[in-house]
Order: sequence, then structure tokens, then C-alpha cells
Amino acid sequence: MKSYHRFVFYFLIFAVMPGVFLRALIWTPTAEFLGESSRILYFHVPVAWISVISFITAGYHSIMILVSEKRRNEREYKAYNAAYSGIIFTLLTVITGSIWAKISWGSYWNWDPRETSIVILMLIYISYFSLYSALKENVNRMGISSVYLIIAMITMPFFVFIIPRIYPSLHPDTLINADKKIHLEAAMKLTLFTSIGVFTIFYGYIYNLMNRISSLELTMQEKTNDN
Amino acid sequence: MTIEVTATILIIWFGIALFIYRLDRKVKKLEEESGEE
Amino acid sequence: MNSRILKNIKKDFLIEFRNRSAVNISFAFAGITTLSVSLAAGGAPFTPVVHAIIFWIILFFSAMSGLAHIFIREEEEKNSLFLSLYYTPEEIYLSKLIFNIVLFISISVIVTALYLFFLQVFPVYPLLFILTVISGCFAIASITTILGAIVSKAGSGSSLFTVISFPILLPVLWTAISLTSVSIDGAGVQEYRNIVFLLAFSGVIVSVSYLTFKFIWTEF
Repeated sequence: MKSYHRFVFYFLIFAVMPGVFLRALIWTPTAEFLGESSRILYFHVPVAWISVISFITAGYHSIMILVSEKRRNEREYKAYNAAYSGIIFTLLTVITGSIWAKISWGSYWNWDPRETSIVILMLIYISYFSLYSALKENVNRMGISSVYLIIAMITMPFFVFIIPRIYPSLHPDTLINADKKIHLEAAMKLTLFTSIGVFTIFYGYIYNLMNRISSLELTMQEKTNDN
Repeated sequence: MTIEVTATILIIWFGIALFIYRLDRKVKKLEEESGEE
Repeated sequence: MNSRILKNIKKDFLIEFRNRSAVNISFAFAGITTLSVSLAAGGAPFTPVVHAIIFWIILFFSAMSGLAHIFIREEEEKNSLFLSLYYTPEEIYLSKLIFNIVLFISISVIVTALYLFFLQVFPVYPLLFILTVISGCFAIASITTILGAIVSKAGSGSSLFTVISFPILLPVLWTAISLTSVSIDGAGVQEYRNIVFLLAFSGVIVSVSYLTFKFIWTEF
């Protein structure tokens, strides 16, 4: 990384992120019917967003492992790291979401479509890791777990069609809804989007760090193998 | 109401902190391994 | 290619039915689960939704107990290398898929007959019920074929198979359960669209597994 890139990163993380938090906690008005608890929005939505992003990243690298011969070793740990960070953010989403559900809907868990879909995402991650650890001895470990992740990925659109028919939703509309509009006040919208942006950059930083650690581990291993 | 907001932020904060702590331990292990050689 | 697939299927059927233990066990598992549900219920009336849920849970666990065996056997007998010398991965996949579909549909026929007989269920829409069972079995068999190949390579028994199949089988189970409860109950619309959904789902899974099977079966 170039030095000024690093400077921008640190600026975004250490200066903009606290600013966004202050905005979210103090400056932004609350939603009229949710009260103070509407401030959870600015922390819950970015975390959920990151868990989906890392699922997509893991899926992208899994597809590329199978498609192209190039940089396969690199993609191996990239897919794994994305899934690894994804399961942590999914867990955080589930916990914070259930706190919010207790406030606004009255119970910690009621199988709302959003809750169901995040739990399915978590189940997919969990089974991916069980498979990954079971394949420890296999030479073809990454190919097999990539195939599993791809099959899990193609079931996700079917869930989007099937879940709303089975469970009625209480969840407020997601950002991308049928009207293609965002039903939020301007100030809330601004705070939400800066929060998502800052969280995404923060996540990108952590993900990059994980990848660098894995690449170092790989080169160390190769060195010891050579000796 | 505010207690729940605080709880949410603390949970996310602890989760990410734990995550970074694990990364830090990995780096430490790498440093020790490279120091031995 | 067709004759080679047929040859492989014939070989699978011969081996599985010569040594009948595995097939017998999976049929017996399905039958015993159904009987034990009926016995435990003891004639207590269930609502249609509960009937549908129990019926599909029985089918799910019968699939979990029986359908991975066709690949695990190849790994246990160390045949997979010889198979891949003679057949292409696509031929192996298609023949195993057809074997699994046939096996699972025959298991489901037994389960359905026993279930309807012992729990005294009479579907109001028989055609919808039969179509649901067939298309649901088709979807379950197509998913478990590729996952069975994955599990056989991982070399750790059926518990891993259940863990990795569950999230992918969920949409099938949900749709099938709601369709079955409608067909038993008679209340609600007969949604034949959902049967199309099941078939489309298994079609997508089959085509993706057809493309990706070679990455599981051979090292690259």
C-alpha cells in the first residue's frame, strides 16, 4: 500500500468513523414511532450489509478458483477469509437484530423473513466451515468447498422468492424495495449511508489485513518446506 | 430504550475487537516464527 | 455417451442389489420411522400442517440415511480412481443421479403408502399430493447426489451429510410442506406454480452440479 493510501485509510477509520457514530447517536433525529431505539439502525444495517458483502466475496473467489488457473493459492485464502469474517458479522447481525426485534416487535425471535434469511446465511457458513474442517486431509480441499459454496449461493435467490410467501413480514422495507425508493428522512438517510460506507471501508481494511497475514503464512510455509 | 442502543453498539464493538485481537495473535505468531529462523 | 451411462447405471444397480444390505437398510429405515411416528401418535388426530411436516421430515431423514451411500461405497471400495479412468466425470454424475432418483422415488413410494395407511390420511387433492411427492423427491435426490459426492470425498460419515444438506434443502422442504398441507387439507388454492418451482430448483441444481462435478471427482 502506498503511504498516502494508508493515510486516507487511517483518516477514514480514526476520524470519520467516530464522527459518524456521534452523528448517529446525537445529531440525527429519531424516527417517530420507534423512539430512541431507531438509532440501532445505523449499526445494525451496516453489519448486515457486510455479512452479505463477504458472502458475495467468498462466492466470487470460489467461482474464480474453478474458472481460472491463475493465482489459485491466493484465491484459496481469500475465499476462506471472506467466509470467516462473514460468519462473525452474521453473528453480530443476528444478535443486534434480535435486540431490536425485542424492542419493536415484542419478542427476541419470531421467524420474520429477514431473521429467517440471515439464519439461513449463518447455517450456510456453519456448514461451509464444518465441511472445510472435515476436508483437512484432502488435496482437493478448496475445489470441493468452492463447489459447496457455489451451490449454496445459487439457492439464495430461491429463498428470496420463497420466504415471503411462507412468513408474513414485520421488518421495515429493506433499502432496495419494490418502489425503488428509500423511505427515510434526509438526515437519517445521510447518516445511514455514511455509516454503511465507513463500515465497508473498515471491513475492507480488516479483510485486506487478513489476506496479508494469510499470504505471509503461505510464504513462511513454503520456506520451511524448502529447507 | 437507550440501554438497548448502548448494548447493540457494545456487542458490535466487542465482536470486532475480538476479531482484531485474533488477527493480532496471528501476526504475533508469525513474528515469532520468523524470529526463530 | 448414453450407452455408457446406461452401462454404469446397470453396474450400480447390480452391485447395490447383489449386496442388498445398504438398500435394505435404507428401505427399512424409512419404514421404521413411519411406523414409529404412527405408533407414537397412537391414533391422536394431527392437523394437516403437522401431517405435512412429519411426512417431509421422515422423507428428509430417509434421504440422509440412504442417498450418500452410492458415492461412499465407491470411495470405500477404492473404485473412484478406476471409475474416473473409464468414464468422464459427467457420465459418472448422470448415472449416479439417475440411480439416486430411482432409489429415492421407490423409498418415497413406500413411505407414502405406509404413512397414508397407518395415519389414516386421505388427501383431498390426490393429484396435487402425488405431484408434490414426486417433484419434491426429484429435488431432494438431485441435491443429495452432488452433496453425497462431496461427503464421500470428505470421508466423514452421515452427520456431515445432514449438516451440509440442511440449508440447501430448506426451500424444497418449505415448499413441499406447504403444498402437502394444502393437498391434505383441501383449504387454499392448488398452486401448481409451486410444483414448477420445485422442478425448476432441481433443474438449476442439476445443471450446476453437472458443470462442477469434475472439480469434486478429480483433482485439479
